[in-house]
Amino acid sequence: MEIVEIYKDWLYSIQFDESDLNEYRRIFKEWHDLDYLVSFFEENKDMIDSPFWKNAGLNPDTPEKSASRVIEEANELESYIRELVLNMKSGDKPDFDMYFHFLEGKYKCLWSLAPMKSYGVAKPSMLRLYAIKLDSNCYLIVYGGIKLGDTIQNSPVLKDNVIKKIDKVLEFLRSNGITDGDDL
Amino acid sequence: MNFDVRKLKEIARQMTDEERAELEYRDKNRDWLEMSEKVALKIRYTLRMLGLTQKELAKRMHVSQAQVAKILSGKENLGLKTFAKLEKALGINLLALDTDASYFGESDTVSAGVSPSNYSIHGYEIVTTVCTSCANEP
Repeated sequence: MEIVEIYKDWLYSIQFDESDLNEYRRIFKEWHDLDYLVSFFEENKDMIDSPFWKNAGLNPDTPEKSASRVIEEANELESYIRELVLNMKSGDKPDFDMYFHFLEGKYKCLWSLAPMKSYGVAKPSMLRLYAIKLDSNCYLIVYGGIKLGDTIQNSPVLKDNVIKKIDKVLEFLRSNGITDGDDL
Repeated sequence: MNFDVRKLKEIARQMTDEERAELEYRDKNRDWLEMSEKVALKIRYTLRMLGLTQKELAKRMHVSQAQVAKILSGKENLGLKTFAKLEKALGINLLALDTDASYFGESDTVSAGVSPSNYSIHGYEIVTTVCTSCANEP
């Protein structure tokens, strides 16, 4: 496992041993992979067939439209992250601390190296980035994906990965002396 | 803070040239890449609605199947010649379709002077756009 500098001092990404890509790159690649997106929405059409997503204009029978929504949102999100970087350089707001929110649940009492989540820019947003807060306005991207359910546990793909990856990265940071482990 | 963020920054590696180039490419080409992806999704939808395979589309367009696969990946910078071939092969007007809602079987107002109208291909509803301001022109 290694850490990759995406935007020096502000945004880093983990790269897992089993992956050729760092997570930041993998996530955005996945959000632009049309084969993956259409298959994902075909396989999870029952999740789109809900009042929430129907009200948001999605249709379980048109996975192509849901995929199109992801692409739009991913582009907006990536541009927004660039904007945050520019804000950090000029000292303007919003900054990364305003963009990420605490991921509560099992991590509720973790004050340092706190796992965080962020939403896409669209409302309602289908996209999530998961990160670990390293410092003020400094984050390590750990995972990201499409969130269709009300919770991580109710969302396909995320339920099998988010907590597992966060725990793995926290362990990696501890074993590299990034944390003293007391807070865990 | 009870952890050493400086140490993390020390062990972090910089992006490789390839990683940096990909990030910059996406940033510089975002607008047309999004268009290409959306066109690809509309073609995928139309193929599904018409029950056509990529091979059949390639045959109709007089291009290789590999070329069709590239178009459907949404990464190609499509030229007007390709647009014309796609429109002819699928019987649709890709360039006039400026919103998803106007395409994926739903009616909505597209933009000033343009309204959607439905027609059916092989029993499926496909929506095209008609320029209403041009309706009375000879």
